[in-house]
Amino acid sequence: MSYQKTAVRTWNENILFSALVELTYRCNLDCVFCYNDLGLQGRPMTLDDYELFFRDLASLSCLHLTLTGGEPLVHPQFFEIATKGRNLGFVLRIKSNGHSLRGRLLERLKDEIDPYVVEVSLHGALAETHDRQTRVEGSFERLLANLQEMAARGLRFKINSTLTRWNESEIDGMFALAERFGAPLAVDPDVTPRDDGDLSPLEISATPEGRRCLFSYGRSEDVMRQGDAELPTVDSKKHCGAGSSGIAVDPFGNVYPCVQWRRPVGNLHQRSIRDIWSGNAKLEEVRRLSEEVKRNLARGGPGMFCPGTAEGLTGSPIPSLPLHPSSMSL
Amino acid sequence: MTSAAAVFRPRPDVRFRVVGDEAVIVRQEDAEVIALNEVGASVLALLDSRRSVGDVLDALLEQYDIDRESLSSDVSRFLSELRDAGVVEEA
Repeated sequence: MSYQKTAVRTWNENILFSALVELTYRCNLDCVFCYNDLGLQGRPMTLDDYELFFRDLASLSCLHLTLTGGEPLVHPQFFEIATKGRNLGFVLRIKSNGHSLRGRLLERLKDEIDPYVVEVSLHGALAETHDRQTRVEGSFERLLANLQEMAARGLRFKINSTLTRWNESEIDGMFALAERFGAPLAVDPDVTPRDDGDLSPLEISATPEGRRCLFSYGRSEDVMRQGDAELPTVDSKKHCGAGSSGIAVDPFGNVYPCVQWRRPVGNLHQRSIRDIWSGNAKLEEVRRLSEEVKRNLARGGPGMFCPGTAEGLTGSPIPSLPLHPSSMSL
Repeated sequence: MTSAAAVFRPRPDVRFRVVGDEAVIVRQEDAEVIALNEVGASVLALLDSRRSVGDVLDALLEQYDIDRESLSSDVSRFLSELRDAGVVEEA
């Protein structure tokens, strides 16, 4: 039995295998194109809520747990929450902007949490560009120093970037930076709308030339697979694992099929993930749509397509050229 | 042959889940993913720092129609492979 076959099985048999948890929307940076809905209201998840949720996830065979935000490390109970994840045997990923990953906090992260990987965000190859996007002066230099310290401490990290109009001419430099640290770089070619539907982040979407340039570097594999070598290529009747093998949860317990597919399918304050996961008409619909997307794309279309992003942009998760977000000139 | 009194446990960097009748193992240190079949998953799930190899054999004999001697030989070889692969260690 190969890992790839297991991954296919989680998609096809709806086995919840990975969960992405947004702990907070607070952040110590102020990125221009942040997709978080900062106005979202609700009752925050408590430490006890997370404990119950994580126990349920583990009992459902969920292996991968990603803690993100906002900036997850500014959550006042980050270490308590992450420790619960560690103790329950999850493969932990931390998605952070990297701004506070140094000194004592970094030491604690390595010693107490021991994440499988920390994913940090790089916004450009030059300080001017990076700081322009984060709107925090000095954030670029601080990130580089922090990456150096992370490497010295033996903490595995990966670098994520979103291609924008402002950084598209620096892609070569960004790959060079990543190579300097021996870390993979994953470039998302699409800026997405905010989760409240605000389209203003798209104002700095990459130009068609910038996108073409990215794919012409011979690094399309890094883009398509998001630089994550351990992610298997899944051959399934579904387009993706959203709502089939993965879920996303916001700081108020709302459950979504995926971080990019913000169609609520339940709330953890009202029902356990075990209840939400099985016999849920909304999730069944998402799974059906994923199969429809796959069938439509098989008839021709762009290689990269995100039904969640498409639904946010057009109201429909089904590809309908020329409205596919990767094909649009925004 | 592994002693029946020996106790094994997953190494600290190992994370795993039993998915249906399979097991997926992630060795964090080397970023390695290993998949085990049904029998391998059953053995791994029993290695909890408390059960001895003898206890593991007893539990497996309740699940599988096999004589103890053959099972003991297979489990011993399998534990040796898991140890060599950096998945388990003696407690």
